[in-house]
Amino acid sequence: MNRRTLENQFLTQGSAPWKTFVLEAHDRGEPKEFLDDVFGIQALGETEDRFLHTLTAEGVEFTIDTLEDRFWSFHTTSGAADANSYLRSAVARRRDLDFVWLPSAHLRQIQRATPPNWIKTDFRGRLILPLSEVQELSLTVRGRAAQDLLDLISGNSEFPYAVSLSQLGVDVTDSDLGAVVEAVNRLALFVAKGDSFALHQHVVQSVVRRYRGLVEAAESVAMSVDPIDSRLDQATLDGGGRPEGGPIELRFSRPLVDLDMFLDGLFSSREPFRLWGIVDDTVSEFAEVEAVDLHVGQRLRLEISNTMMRVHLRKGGCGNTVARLVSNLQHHVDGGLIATDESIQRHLDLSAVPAA
Amino acid sequence: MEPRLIPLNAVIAMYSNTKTSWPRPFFEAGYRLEGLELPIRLADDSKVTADAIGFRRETNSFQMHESKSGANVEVAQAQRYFRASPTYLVTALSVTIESQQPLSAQTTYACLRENEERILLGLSEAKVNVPVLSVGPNDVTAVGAPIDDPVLRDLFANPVVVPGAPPGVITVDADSPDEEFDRVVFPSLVAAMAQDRENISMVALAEEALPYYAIYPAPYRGRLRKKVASAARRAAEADSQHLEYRPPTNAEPDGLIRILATPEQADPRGRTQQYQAIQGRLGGGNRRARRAEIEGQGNLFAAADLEQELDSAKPVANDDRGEEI
Repeated sequence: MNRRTLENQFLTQGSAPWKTFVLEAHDRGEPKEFLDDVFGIQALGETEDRFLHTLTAEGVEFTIDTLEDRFWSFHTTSGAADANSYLRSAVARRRDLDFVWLPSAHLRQIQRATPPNWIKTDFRGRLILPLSEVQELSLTVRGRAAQDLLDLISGNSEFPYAVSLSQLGVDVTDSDLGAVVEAVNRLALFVAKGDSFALHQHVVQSVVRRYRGLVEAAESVAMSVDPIDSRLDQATLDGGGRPEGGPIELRFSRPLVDLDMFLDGLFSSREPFRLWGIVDDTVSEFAEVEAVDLHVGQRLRLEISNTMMRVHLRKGGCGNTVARLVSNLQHHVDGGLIATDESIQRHLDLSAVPAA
Repeated sequence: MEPRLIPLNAVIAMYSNTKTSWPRPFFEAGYRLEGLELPIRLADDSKVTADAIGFRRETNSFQMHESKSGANVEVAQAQRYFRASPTYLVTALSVTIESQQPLSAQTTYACLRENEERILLGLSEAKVNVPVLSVGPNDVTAVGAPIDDPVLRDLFANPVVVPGAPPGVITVDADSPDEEFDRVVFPSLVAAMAQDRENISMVALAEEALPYYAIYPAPYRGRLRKKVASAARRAAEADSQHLEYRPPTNAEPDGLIRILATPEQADPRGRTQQYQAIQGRLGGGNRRARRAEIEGQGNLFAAADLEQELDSAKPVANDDRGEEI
C-alpha cells in the first residue's frame, strides 16, 4: 500500500462512493503510537508510506493519512453509516480525538468558485429556543441558484439566525487535475467521485487549512497568567504574573428571547454541546459560568448575556473547543453569530481568505 | 463576580488583547498589560504590590494600578507607589525599551462608583494626588488628578461606556467566601472526572481551579490552597459516590481528593445522566429554569446517490435525546 495504490482505489471505486472523514488528533506525539492507543495495535497495519496506516475493525476498512499534522484523513469505501459509527465511538472514548466542526462559512467556501449543485440547511434550536422563535428550519435547495436563495432568506432582517448550512454538493473542476463531485457535511465528511484523487485531496486540504486557521487563531488568544519569577524554589517566589491572551466574544445576530432556557440547554451535559456548568443566579440578564467541556475534559469560563457569549479558553486548551462551540451555536442557536474580534471573525467568515 | 473584584477585572479588561464589547482604552492608547500582582521593591527595601502594570513602548510609560476592593485607602501603601522606580519596573517585567523617551510611571487607582468619594477623600488625606478610575454599572469615569499620558487622558475625557460586568480573569481571591471557591473548585473536580484521573492533589486542584494561582507569593498561595481544600471537602460530602476527601498526610500535606468513579465509564446515556446528577448535587445545575422535554427529530431529506450516502452517516441515536449533530 502506498499513495499510488490509494489513488487507484479512488479511481476504480465501484458502487460505493469514496468517503474521507477528517479527525483532529490533539496529540503531539508519534502518530503511529497514538493510533495504536486509540484503535488497538491488532486493527492497524503498516504501509510503504510512513504517514499511511491501514485500519480494519468491526467490518470497516480505513486508510489513515497522517501527513497533515493534527488533522488526519480517514479514507474508506465502507458504508458511511458503519464508518461514521465506528469513528464516533472512538471519538467518544477519547479526549484527544475530535471531529472537525465546520462553521457555515467554511462549508460555503468550498463552492465559492463554483455554485453548488445543492445545499442543505439544518437549524435545530428546538431544545434551546422558545416557541416564539424559529425553532427549526431545514431546507434542501437544488440547482445552481441554491446559494442565491439562501442568501435571500438569511438576508431577511428577522430570521438570519435560522439559516445554518449543514451540507452541500459541488462539482469541482481543475484544468490540470481533472474533476470530482463532492458532497460535504459540517463534520468534514467528504463523499466523492471523480477522475482525480489529487483534486479530492486538494479540496480536503483546503478545508483543513482554513479550519486550522480558526483553531490556531483561538489558541493564539488562549488565556494564561504565568509567574514572572520562575525560580524552582516555589516557597521563595515573590509573586507577580505575566498575563497573555484574552476572551473570545461571540455576538448573536439578535437578542436571545429566553436566556434561562438557552443556559439550561447549553449546560445540560448533553450532545452536541456537552458542557457541564453551574450557572450563577445573581443577575438575571447576565450569567458567569465556570464550565467543563466534557468532549475534552477541560475547564473554560463562559460569560453570557442575551446578546453575546464570552469564551475564556485557557492556555493549553484546544481551539477545537471554540470551533465546536461556534459550529453548534450556528446550528442550534444562531446561524448569524459573529466574533467581535476581527482577527477571529476573519477566520470564521473567511472574508479575507482566497478561494481554494 | 464579587463586586469588590470588579475594579481589578475592569482594569484588566481595559487592556484586553482581544476585542470584546468591553472598551479597552489602555490597549487603544498603545499600552499592554505586562504584569499582575507584581511586588515592586523600593530603595529602602520595602515593597508595594501593584495589582496591574501596563507599559506603552512608544513613550516608555508605565501605568501602575491599585484596584480597591473596598473604600479604604492605605496611606503608607499609597505613598510607596510614588517611590517606585520605572527602572525597577523595566528589569522586573523585562520590557523592551526602544523609544528615546524618558521612562515614566504613573499610579492610577480603580474603585467601585459607590466607593469613589471615600477613596478620593482617603487619597487627599494621604496627600496622594492620583487619577482614580471610578467603575460604575454603565461607565468608567476618570476622576481625581489628571492622567499624565495625553492620549489616555483624551480617551478618558468623557465617561467610557461599558456594557455591564467586565470579563472575569481574577474571579476569586483569598478573601472570597466559600461559595465563590465552590464555583471554581467543583467544575475542576468534574474536569478531573472527565479526564479519568484517579487522584488530584490540592496544589493541582488549586492550579486547575485558579489559573492565576502560581503568581502569588507562598503564604498567599497557602491561604488559597486551604480554601480550595475546604471546597473539595464540601464537594466530597455532597457527592460521596464519585469523590472522597483524604485528609492531610506527610506525603500530601494539604490532603487529596480521590475520584472513586467517573461518568466516563458509563454508556453515553448513563454518562449524561450521571453528569446531570453531579450537577444537581454540587450546585443545583442551572438554578434558573427547566424546560419541557421534547423528543424526536424528523428527516426531511430526499435521497440521491452521494447525498444519500452522506445522509446515511447520521448517527442513529446520539446521547439520550436522539439529537443529531
